Amino acid sequence: MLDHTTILDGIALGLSVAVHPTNLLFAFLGCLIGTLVGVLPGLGPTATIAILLPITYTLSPVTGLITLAGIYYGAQYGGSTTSILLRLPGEASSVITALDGYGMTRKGRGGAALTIAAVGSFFAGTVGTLFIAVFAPVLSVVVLKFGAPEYFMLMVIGLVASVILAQGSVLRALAMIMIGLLLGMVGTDMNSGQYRYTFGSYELLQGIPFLPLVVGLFGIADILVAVERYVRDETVPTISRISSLWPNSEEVRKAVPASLRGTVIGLFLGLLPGGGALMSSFVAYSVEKRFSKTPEGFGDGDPAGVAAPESANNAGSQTAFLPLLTLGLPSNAVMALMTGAMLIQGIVPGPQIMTKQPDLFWGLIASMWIGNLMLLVINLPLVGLWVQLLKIRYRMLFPVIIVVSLIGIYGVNFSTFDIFLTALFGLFGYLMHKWRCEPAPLILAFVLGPMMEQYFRRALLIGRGDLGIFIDRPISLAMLVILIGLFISLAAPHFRSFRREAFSE
Amino acid sequence: MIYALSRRSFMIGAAGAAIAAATPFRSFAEDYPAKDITYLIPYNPGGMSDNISRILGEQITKITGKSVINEYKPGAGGAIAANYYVGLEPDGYTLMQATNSFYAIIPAVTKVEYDPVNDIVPVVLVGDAPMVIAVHPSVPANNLQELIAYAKENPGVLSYGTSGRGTVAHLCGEWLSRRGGIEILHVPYNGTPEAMQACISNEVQIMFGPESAPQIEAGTLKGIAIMGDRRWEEMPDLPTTVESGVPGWAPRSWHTVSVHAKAPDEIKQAIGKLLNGILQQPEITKRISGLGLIPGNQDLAAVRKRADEDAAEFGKLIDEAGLRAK
Repeated sequence: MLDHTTILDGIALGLSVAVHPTNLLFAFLGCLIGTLVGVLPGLGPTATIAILLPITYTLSPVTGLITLAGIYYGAQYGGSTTSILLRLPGEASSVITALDGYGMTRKGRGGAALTIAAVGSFFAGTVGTLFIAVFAPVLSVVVLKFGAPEYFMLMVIGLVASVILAQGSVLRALAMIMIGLLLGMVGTDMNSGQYRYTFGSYELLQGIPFLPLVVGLFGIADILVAVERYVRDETVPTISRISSLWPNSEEVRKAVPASLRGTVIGLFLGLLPGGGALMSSFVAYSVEKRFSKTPEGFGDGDPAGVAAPESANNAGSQTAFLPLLTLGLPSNAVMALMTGAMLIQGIVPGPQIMTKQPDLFWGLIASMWIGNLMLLVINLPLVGLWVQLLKIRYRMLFPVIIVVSLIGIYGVNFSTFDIFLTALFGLFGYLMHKWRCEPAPLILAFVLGPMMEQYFRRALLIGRGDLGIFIDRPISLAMLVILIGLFISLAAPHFRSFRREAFSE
Repeated sequence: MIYALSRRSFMIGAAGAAIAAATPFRSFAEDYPAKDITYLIPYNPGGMSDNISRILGEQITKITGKSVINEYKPGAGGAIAANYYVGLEPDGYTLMQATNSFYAIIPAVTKVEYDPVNDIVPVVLVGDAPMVIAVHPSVPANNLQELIAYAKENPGVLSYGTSGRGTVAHLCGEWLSRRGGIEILHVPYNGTPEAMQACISNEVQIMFGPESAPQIEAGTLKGIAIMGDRRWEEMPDLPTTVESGVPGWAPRSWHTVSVHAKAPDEIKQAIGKLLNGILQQPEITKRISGLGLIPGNQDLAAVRKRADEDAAEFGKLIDEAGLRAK
């Protein structure tokens, strides 16, 4: 582990790199471009970075990476904006924000929701950056202690804890979870190579892509519902006037503790490979719902339901850099693009990046914080602009949303198949709305289901078929105990009444 | 006047056409490329194939003045792009960034709609990906023979991580277990980084592929050998598998540029000449090495032979391992 002076030296070095005028400028440009592109519905960080990658080839490696990191944060934040204002998540991490963020928008509090998201993200980003700077070497050891059995247990805990997410009928929520699991099954089985539900389609060999599912179920379905209402009642769908861009004192009172808890959850769950951002926002949301004195208000515009997942996913997106920075291993698609960018610059990302290229390592860490600060600077003034979007007449707005979403989806895999898939899921989402089913549990099951299956089977493979692997390993065993505790708490009479309260609307 | 001029130009044109018809090689080869080129990338932007295409595309534009437009068709491990490619006009104006997998592995382990012999042809060797065998430092073996001996004494202990079933790394594992007469367990992961993390934490013990190099350098993994008969400049102390007592062909992974097999021969030659000219520049060789590849340089016939050899050898391995798509 590094001693204090080394860390301070490192931070000083990092800041000196990050505040270099060129780097500052590109951090700003990255955040701005990221925000502007990310705010287009359907365009998340991965697609945005993929499109803008060539820009960085002419820059020095540090500046290039700082720009990419800026785009990453910007696009992620932009995705939250569309989630809140239009119920159109651009990335897994902002699916949850759509629930209460859009709820706040419907109540005319969209501006306040955006401000809560911006400030909450900045706070979490700051904590996350400090956390990485101080604990990077320790955390990289912790990451290596987590194998297939531990990840599996963690996901089961997440899934069980998230059952509380369900609104209204538990039966409907379970049905949604089942459908999500089934959709997640589509593709090539990793271990045997068997095709599952691919119906001879090459496009489905790698499974159902995430973005068409989310944009269909949330964005397109919502538009269909609004248009139907318009056609039937001839009332123009409007969102109530935005009253104030700033949260009122009650909203602040709810958002602050939620943001704190969300940050802590995000710091740790962000380390999960692949599903970190989604898991942390789901778990943070469930925890808030449980802690809340008014859980019935969740899903209908509770500020805590915006602050918690937004803080969690931003804290998580900082710690997600950890495997890349300490082991040279990208933990998600965006990181993979960044390693590609490093390679073409002649830098081989590896465990020695911290000692061999300290300016790159610390510069990137410092610019994470600078990037978060810039996001706040860029986005607080933009809140006023974004909410103006809602003044556009709906019949003008919705075709634009559909077209831009589809362009965004096409941009990810360059596949027209994905566009048809989006339309199909839009229709399905519309039917789900008719049947009063919530899409959130479906998404969670869709993402976690295949991962749980993989980790479970991998654990058994490594244990040579012995289930004992789950109790032989101390961390896995501890999590199993927590899991049993969770089940008991769910079954206990006291909690049963609590749960009834939580599930009632 | 006007009539006469146009008549004369017609005559010149006709004469030109006659010469062109008599010597098609000259006209095609010298005209290529007469228009902009489309470059099909079978994977997502930012990956190795994309990085190679950007280096080559930039040089093609620099030399010929024609634009090179990248088109991405990721999915199904490259099969979607290859299926799409064979449906395009075979005029030599669409290149595909490919690997030997498109000739030897993908058509065998996936059901595809293209014929790797009659539909596509590799025109150059961009470079070999050094397939390094690395182990977790706790494995008591420092070379290939010791590794094989250890695996024989301790059956059911060693496993290897890959980015999936039917990948080059998986076939490396199959090859080692068959040629070494040992039993090692295949554990597929969601991508090489996840497999690498598992090997660093000793969840699996063996890794195959170029990605281990920085880990070996840092001491988080231990280098055992490099597959095949060519040593790698970056790790000059690492012996080859041939030197380590396992003679003959070993699974390999190399990058190429493919064109339609049905494109005119002169065009294929012209593309090969153009690309080989680019790949011979010392500065380009350096950039290809920088991507972690061992730069290569081979003409059309030699590359085709390489692909055919791989198709036969990988084919045997795929059949023995029961991986062939039914």
